[in-house]
Amino acid sequence: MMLWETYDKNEIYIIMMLLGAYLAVYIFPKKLPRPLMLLFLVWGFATSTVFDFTLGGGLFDYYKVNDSNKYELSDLLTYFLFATFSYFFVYFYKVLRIRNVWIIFYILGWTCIGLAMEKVSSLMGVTHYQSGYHIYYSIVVFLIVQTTTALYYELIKKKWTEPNHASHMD
Amino acid sequence: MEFVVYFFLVWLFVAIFAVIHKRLNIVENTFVYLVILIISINYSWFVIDEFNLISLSEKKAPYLAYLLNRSVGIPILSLIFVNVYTRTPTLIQKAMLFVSSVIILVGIASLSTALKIITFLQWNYWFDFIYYFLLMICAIGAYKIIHRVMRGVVEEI
Repeated sequence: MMLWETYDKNEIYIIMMLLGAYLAVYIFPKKLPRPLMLLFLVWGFATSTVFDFTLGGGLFDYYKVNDSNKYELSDLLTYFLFATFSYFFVYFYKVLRIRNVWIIFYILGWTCIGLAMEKVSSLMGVTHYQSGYHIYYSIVVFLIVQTTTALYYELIKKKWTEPNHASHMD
Repeated sequence: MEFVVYFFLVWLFVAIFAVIHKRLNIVENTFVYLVILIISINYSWFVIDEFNLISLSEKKAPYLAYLLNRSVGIPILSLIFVNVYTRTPTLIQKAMLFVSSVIILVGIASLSTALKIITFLQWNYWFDFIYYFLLMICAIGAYKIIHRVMRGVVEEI
């Protein structure tokens, strides 16, 4: 593992985004209980890791994150950045009281945000597509991740309202 | 064949997890699963791609078997371990459970070498034993962290 191959715009972009995102997490009124805040931050980190190490590495190797195919510190920072996206997805899901058919529009909206962010990341040199991968393939990834996140949050909400949730939810 | 073997094992672990009495709630179980998943993916990347200590088959079926084990099998087994561990009363029983879990995980890793999914280059089972030992400690650590954060939380979500 290395810090980075060259310190240039992609590293600066990640660090600025990271500072902005965690500042927003800190500043925004706390609407989610602390366990869920922690859970969905880890959820975002884990989903980005799964997709990056499965599609972006190994046998498929569809894209390169940052300057090289080696593991850089900036790669790790990228996953910490993804963690906040998952948190804010659930945060606004709650704040905007998303229900029923609005779930579809909410997921589509976040997919557009995801695509826009990925385009910016690509322009800033964070993601480099290879082996015939195109940005529109990421729509599939966003739809899977966001639908799973929304459904999982709904499941947790259902379990949470059951009696004695703090000690027994199953 | 490799894929079928690992698919069966992962199915078995998921089925066991589904039917056992779970001491952890859904938030705690998910948190522990995700932490172990992150460690498992990063560890695999380091030993295979970064340091070339283990080589991985480039055929599709063995590769899928490896992905299945890395992303579902190991985290689910760790969850089963933590759920049983938290309701094991004595220290000796906890220690026995701990060692048994590590041996099972090393056994699954040895199956990967037997089926030629992975090949040890500069690696051996003792390193695997140490890794899985530390992984189980991480699983318990993750549970303790989320359990502490969960304590006393009664807010509406």
